[in-house]
Amino acid sequence: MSAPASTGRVNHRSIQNKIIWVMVATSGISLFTASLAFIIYDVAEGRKALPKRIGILANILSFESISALDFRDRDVLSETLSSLKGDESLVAAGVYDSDDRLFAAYYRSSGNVGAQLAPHLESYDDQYYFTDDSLFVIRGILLGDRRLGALVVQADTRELTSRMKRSVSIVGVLFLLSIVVAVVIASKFQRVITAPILQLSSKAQEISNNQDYGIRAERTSDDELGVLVDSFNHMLTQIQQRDDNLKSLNEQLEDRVQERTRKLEVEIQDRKRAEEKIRVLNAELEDRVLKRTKQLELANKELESFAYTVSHDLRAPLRHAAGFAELLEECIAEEHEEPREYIQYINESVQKMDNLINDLLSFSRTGRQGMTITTVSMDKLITEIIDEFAIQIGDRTIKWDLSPVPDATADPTMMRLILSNLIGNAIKYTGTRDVARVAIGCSKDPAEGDDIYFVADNGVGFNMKYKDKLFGVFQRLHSNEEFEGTGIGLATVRRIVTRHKGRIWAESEVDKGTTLYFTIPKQETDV
Amino acid sequence: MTILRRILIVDDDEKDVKLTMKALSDSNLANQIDIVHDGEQALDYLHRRGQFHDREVGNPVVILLDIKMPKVDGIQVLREVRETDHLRCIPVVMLSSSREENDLIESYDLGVNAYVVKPVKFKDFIDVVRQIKVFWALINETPPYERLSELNEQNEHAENSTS
Repeated sequence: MSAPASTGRVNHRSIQNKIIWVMVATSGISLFTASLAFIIYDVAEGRKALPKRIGILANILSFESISALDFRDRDVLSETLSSLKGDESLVAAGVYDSDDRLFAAYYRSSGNVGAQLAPHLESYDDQYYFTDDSLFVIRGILLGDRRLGALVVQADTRELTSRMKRSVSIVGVLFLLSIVVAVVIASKFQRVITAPILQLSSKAQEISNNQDYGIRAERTSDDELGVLVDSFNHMLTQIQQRDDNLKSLNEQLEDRVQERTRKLEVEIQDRKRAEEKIRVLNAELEDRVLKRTKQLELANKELESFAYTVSHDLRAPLRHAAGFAELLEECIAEEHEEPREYIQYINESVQKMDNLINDLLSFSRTGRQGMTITTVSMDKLITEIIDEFAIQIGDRTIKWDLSPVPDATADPTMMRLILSNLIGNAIKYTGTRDVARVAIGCSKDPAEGDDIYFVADNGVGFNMKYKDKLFGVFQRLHSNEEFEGTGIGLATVRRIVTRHKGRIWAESEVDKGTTLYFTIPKQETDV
Repeated sequence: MTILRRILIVDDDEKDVKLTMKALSDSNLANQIDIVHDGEQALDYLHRRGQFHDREVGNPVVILLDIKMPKVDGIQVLREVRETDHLRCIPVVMLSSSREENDLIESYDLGVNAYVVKPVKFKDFIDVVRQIKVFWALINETPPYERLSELNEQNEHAENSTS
């Protein structure tokens, strides 16, 4: 069996048992050692004392036997030997002659003592030896230097053995008694040590079971256990304090968590309310947008129907007037020049009115028409438009100065309208020049990086103080007699440029010429 | 033998009708001209019903159709003409005062044969009408099955009258 297992088994026992065992074992071992020492001593002493006593007796006897042996007086010798009767331990005694023959003998009871001792007694003179149950003491009987014979005394040693046995049993009984007493005392005294420990242990158990750190162990002594109890209590106090701290911290924490939760709940409520508000607002906004869109759609429809009415209903009577005037002209003879002239005026007025209506319609259309944004080759557009004006130019001399211009991202129809108006204006207002010059090109805006297209002419120009009137509807800076026009062209141009989020402006000097500038920023494709 | 078939003018404006008639007569063509004053009458005429239930059998050689009219407008008339089997092949020329884009697009979507914005100058108008007439009433060939059905109808008519 290995040591750890044994200590393990020992460790499993209760501390009470351990203490009892230690005390009993300690007292048992010391008692056993003392008893053993005593018995050994007693036996040794017994075996030493007996030969001494018998030796003295043998010396006396041998001395008294000298003369009787010398005279070979067997009776005297027997008498002398029989004096040994008084000692119960002497079993037998014999006197041997010089030939080692038994001469006289004494027996307490029957038995022959000399049989063993007969040969070579001389060599045993003054010696003794033990047999199983006897002590033999031998003494030479000397007269002067002459050896007369030898005395042998046999003593019973059973007494010695029984005494030893008695000692052992007494010691054994005492040993057992003292063990019992030790156990009793140990189990009484162990309480002095174990009671506080057990108390501590049970308190600890109780504390761990109940989680009650208010429990205190009772101090019963001033020794190390007392110190232990004090330390235990001190430790408990600390634990209790920490426990209390922990509890209060926990409570604080819980309070804070609850407070935080409340705040968060309030915040969530606030947010929900805000979201609800936003939702409501959004819904309202959407509603309003829908309403506004509907209104706008309605307004647009009204505008469209208005434009439709204008285009259809205003022109029909105009056409009738023109038609019947012409028919009337046919009815009037050639020689009536005056009425025919008036009819001519009617027709001219009608034509003018038709132009106005057309321009007005075009202007209104540029405002509401959807835009189709693509890449527009302005160069191509410019040459096409110049070609279209060929008839109007007729045999006039116009020097074109065309620089290549970049493409625009815009509505192509509207770009055509812009360029057509501007080039048309340039042709119109250079009508009084022998050699008209028109330059078309493009430069970069240093500030915003947009392309600035321009159409410059060397025409009549205008006074810059009227520049604000230039782009207004029906605003004209020249009389109809000077230059024909409806006064809507540049208004239409400006509307288109504005719809493309561009800018338009003019520079002019009377009799020097006019330059119109405009920008068309890159359009979002979904416009 | 070529029968000079009728030309149908649909226009609510008496003055317009007069000018159109004048233009047509100036172009020296002998076709008979029928005039109705709104879309409803036009459809009655084409379907030979109502006041036109007893008109002569046969589709007009061309319809000159005004757009803006009371009750049923020109676009609706055009739509019905194109959706009706026996009318589908009649050439239709829109005569309008305006070049309103929506009208233009819708008319061509519905399959109009020509869309004319009436010029303000009467001389120009006469030119236009003459061209229309020459093209649609004389040069243009009507589909053959229409001729056949027309002949059939004439035969029926003849039989009815003899009996």
